[in-house]
Amino acid sequence: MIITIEEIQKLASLSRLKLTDEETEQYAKDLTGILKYVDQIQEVTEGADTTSTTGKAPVYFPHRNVMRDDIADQALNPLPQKLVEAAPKHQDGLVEVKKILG
Amino acid sequence: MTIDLKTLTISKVREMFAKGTLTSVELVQAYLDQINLKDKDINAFREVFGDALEQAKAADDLRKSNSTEVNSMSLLGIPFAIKDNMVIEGKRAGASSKILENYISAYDATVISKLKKAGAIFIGRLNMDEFAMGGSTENSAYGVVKNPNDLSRVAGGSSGGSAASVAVNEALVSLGSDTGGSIRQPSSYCGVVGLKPTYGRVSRHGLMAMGSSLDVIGPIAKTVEEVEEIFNVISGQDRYDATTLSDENVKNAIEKSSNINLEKLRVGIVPELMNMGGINPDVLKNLNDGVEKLRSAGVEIKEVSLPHIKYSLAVYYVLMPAEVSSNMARFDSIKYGGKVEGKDLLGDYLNTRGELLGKEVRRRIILGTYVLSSGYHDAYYNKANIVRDLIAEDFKKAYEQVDVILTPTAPSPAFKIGQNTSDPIQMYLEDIFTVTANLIGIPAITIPSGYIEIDEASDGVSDGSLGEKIKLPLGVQFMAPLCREDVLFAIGKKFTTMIKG
Repeated sequence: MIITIEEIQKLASLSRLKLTDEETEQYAKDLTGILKYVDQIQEVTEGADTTSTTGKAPVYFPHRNVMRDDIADQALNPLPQKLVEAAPKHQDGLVEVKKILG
Repeated sequence: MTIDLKTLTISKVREMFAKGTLTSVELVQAYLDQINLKDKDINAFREVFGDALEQAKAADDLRKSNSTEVNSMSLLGIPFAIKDNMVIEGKRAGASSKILENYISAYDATVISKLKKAGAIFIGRLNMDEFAMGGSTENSAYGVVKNPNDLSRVAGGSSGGSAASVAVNEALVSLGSDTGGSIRQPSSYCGVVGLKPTYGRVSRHGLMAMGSSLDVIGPIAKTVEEVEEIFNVISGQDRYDATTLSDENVKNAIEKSSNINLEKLRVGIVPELMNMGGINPDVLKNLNDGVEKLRSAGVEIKEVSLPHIKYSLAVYYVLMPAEVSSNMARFDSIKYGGKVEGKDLLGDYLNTRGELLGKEVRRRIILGTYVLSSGYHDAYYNKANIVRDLIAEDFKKAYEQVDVILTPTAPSPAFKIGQNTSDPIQMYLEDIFTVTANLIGIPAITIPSGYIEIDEASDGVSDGSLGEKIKLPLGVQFMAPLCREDVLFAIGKKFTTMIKG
């Protein structure tokens, strides 16, 4: 499978990355090479009924769907202000964002 | 006073503290001196914390106060250095990325709060591949970490700073993180001990996520005993990380391998892995020497078959980028980190992520986006998950015959800086022995297994000093069943004694 420049442009746009022409070309080459390597998993024909496809807990994870009570954690109380201050742009304790709708 | 940092261990420090022959301030000063002396060359530290000596002083004062809380502080005054992707309240943390250049942590990672509770202090944060993506720290936005054994070689990665700082005695012990070998491979390249615990035994709350079904935090030190002690302090269920295992989960997992006798461990070797090619002959010879030593010490060695392990690396390079592409979406120039302005919100995203994320990070985001996109999701992501299960089944069967599986940690000793940068596949192949433990969650440890001597002139790169030999450390990896870190510590100690004897 050969990954084209156009495909890289589409993927970059989907993943919100601005790339230079040179980078786009390089990534097309890189991805083609990497996918050629990982394509060996297509040789495997068994395993259709393994845990991934049957929804049972996989053998490598002894637990799944861990729930907790929906209770606010007081221990985290001083955090919100600090978290807002970590934003590159904030004002009056609120995170500043550019206009989203028209 | 002069302190012999080379042979210093946590228990020796504790003994000297108790006797009053050493203070934490003196110890930290010794490490600061060593950092001043060496780190211009090594580049292991991103930052040495300005309050390191203050923290040490506070620990010394607390010890002198004879307060009862001291009794429960097993690591009081013991200095740690931390990989730059774990947060410490009030300190900067950047994952060696430009996008987090000015980020200050708002809280402590759970591993940090556990270490603090035990009395540990923190001397600095350590260089790494950007967001832990890489195997050489050449992807750090702040320069490569050099191998203390040969400055023209890499220290390995992604926890290159964590391994090199311990190896060159700039730190007593450190924490790293391991998604596909990022603790074990650099530890092997630098000649120290590194543990990748069972998935879920150590909380990742406060660790910057890379591959969420793979990531785990673990310790790096000079001895198995220290790694064991640190693991015991940092492990345990955490309400802030739902993937951590409960005591009951751990008990159930251990019951499944309850036939293991720590005094009489059966060690498995995997011929199909050794025969697949691409392994440096010196690494193979070193492994075989290790196997022979174990055998002559009376350890039962058995060949086991893991028919799907040859697909591990391919599976890893589908699942890991898929998880990376999703985890890295949080760097949106709004919540935290850097921002490069665009003309609108989309422009902010494109510019910030395009300019402040490094080449390898972007490569993995794009690859991950590809394998998750409609039309390829079944062929790559789902297929990889199916093969992941098959690999886990192989191990389950193998562990019916053996208690622990032995491989080299990496297919080669530390490579030259720049040697693999133009070919991502060649770089990824360095993970060939380590990724499997992450895919199936099992614990694994790397133990130094000796050195190989390389003649620089015959290595193709001569700096004019003909005939000069350099010694590069090698390591072997032991992999145990889920939650059987105790097996790794037992065999690790035995193996270390044999190598030294």
